[in-house]
Amino acid sequence: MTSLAQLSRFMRRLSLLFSAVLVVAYLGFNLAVVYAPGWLSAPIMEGTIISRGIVMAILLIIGAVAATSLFVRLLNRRGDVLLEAIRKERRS
Amino acid sequence: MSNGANWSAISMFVLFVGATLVMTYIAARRSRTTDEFYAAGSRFGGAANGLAISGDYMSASTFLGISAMVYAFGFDGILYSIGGTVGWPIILFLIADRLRNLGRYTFADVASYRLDRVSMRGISAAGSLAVITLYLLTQMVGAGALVEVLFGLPYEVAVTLVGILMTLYVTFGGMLATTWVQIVKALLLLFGGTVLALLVLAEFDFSLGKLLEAATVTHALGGAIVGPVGSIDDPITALSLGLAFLFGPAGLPHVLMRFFTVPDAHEARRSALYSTAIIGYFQIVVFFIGLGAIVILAQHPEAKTATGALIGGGNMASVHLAGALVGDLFMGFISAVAFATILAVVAGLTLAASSAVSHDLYAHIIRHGRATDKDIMRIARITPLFVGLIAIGLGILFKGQNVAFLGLLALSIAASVNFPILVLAMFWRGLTTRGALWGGAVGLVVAITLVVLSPAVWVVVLGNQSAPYPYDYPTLFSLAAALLTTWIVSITDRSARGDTDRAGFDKQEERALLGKMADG
Repeated sequence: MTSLAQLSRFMRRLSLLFSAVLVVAYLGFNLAVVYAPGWLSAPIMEGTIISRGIVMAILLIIGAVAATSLFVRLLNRRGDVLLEAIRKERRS
Repeated sequence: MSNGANWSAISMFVLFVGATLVMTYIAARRSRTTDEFYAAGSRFGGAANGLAISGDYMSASTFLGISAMVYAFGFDGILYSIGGTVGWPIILFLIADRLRNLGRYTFADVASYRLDRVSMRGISAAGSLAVITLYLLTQMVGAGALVEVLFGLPYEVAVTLVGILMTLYVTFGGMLATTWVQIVKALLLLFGGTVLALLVLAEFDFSLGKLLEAATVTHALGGAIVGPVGSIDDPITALSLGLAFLFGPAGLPHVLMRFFTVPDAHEARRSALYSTAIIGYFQIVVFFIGLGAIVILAQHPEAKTATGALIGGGNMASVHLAGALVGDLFMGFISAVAFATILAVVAGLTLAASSAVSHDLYAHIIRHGRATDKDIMRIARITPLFVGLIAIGLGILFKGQNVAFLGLLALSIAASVNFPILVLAMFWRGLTTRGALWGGAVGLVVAITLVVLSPAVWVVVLGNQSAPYPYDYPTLFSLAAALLTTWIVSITDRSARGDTDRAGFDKQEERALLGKMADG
């Protein structure tokens, strides 16, 4: 496989994987709001008022930002290696 | 404060306007070519552009609207905070790289890369202008009402002022001035929001538990506010709203065009990363502000009317909170920031409209790519004038109307017309011009039809008894219809154009991955 085809496949897989995880997590949370409001309202542990729903909501926002950062890191690392390989192939 | 002018707010706002007009003057000397006008010469870095993107998106509805939702319903408000965040990673995961590598000034550049130039530019420009008009209208009506309350200025004066300022920024300063306005506004908003949230948390020893405890004691709904209280209570709404939030931002023309202000895909990625982080951070800040307002405004009867409602309406929760925690000066600052926010958003929309008209419709469809830079610039500078006039006219025409559904419609059209065209053109070899046109048209028609038949229009605006489409959001059905139509029409497309479309994919993919390296 050429480096260009490898880069194309790598980026597609990465895009699809990260998007799918985010879509499932977010839509899943929205459906939990509809089907399991009682579970979400329950406290995260005994003796606190902080609910599972609020913790999950904040984690979803932080998780979305963390996933973005991870995606950029993975793409920069692997993508730059492949780009360099392509550059070399084209020169020769 | 709804009677008479609020001078501390007005003077701070005048300071902001003065500063932005100086920026526009400086930018004007560097906005003479189309490349400068549409993309600020593509010289911005990822951090600055990320800040500007968040400035473009964090509208008054994010700041005032979501804190008001938290104030009114507690947990249910945070559902909109999550929604406002999740669209940004999607932009990075699916489109940022390819968008930058394939386009120059508008997302129509990308949609028409291998597909038929005239048809694709036509439908992309139509999708863009539909979204922009709807957004502009909601922003103008919101601005007029807000300024009436914040500054004590008459509605018509406020709408006209917003219209004139946005036209000035864009006509003279182009993308450079618009970007600077977005950045300044984003910084002011982040500063004001952070201070407000810190002041709230300081009242509760920086403990979320104590803050929530106090909120449940004060709030009319009591302990129920830590969980869902029913603003989203059926699966169709949960999914439709979810899909609009996920894929709407990736179809907003004024957001997409910001990705052309950076030099390459690498900086486009960083733009998306910074904007996601800033927007996510701000959404959490807004949640704390809303919770704080529940507790603190309960001790401030001067912020409320005799019936216990907030003076100026629910949207004023964060503004009153600033007054209660610090005093009039900070309240004025937050008011000025709220107005600056609207101004920056409408400037971004106006620039996107100018690009769609001058670059897509005029340069490529009317003049078939043979217009000179000077000709295009003339159209690009005249368009904001018309946009300003139309926006002022619509703003005054719709005074006092409930236009919230138009914002929903705009995001739904972005998610079910612009987004599928863009992402399928980028990723699916089988997409043909005919498929994209049919899919886009079906997405548009279904989205508009369902919104008209929904309670927000059919019952509230048209005064009927019950709505044929009982949900507020059309996206689940409009996006599905658009995708299905695009797929069926594309795979059955036996035209010569269809063969050319599919054959062009490999060359497009090379350019999408390599950017300028693909040329040399």
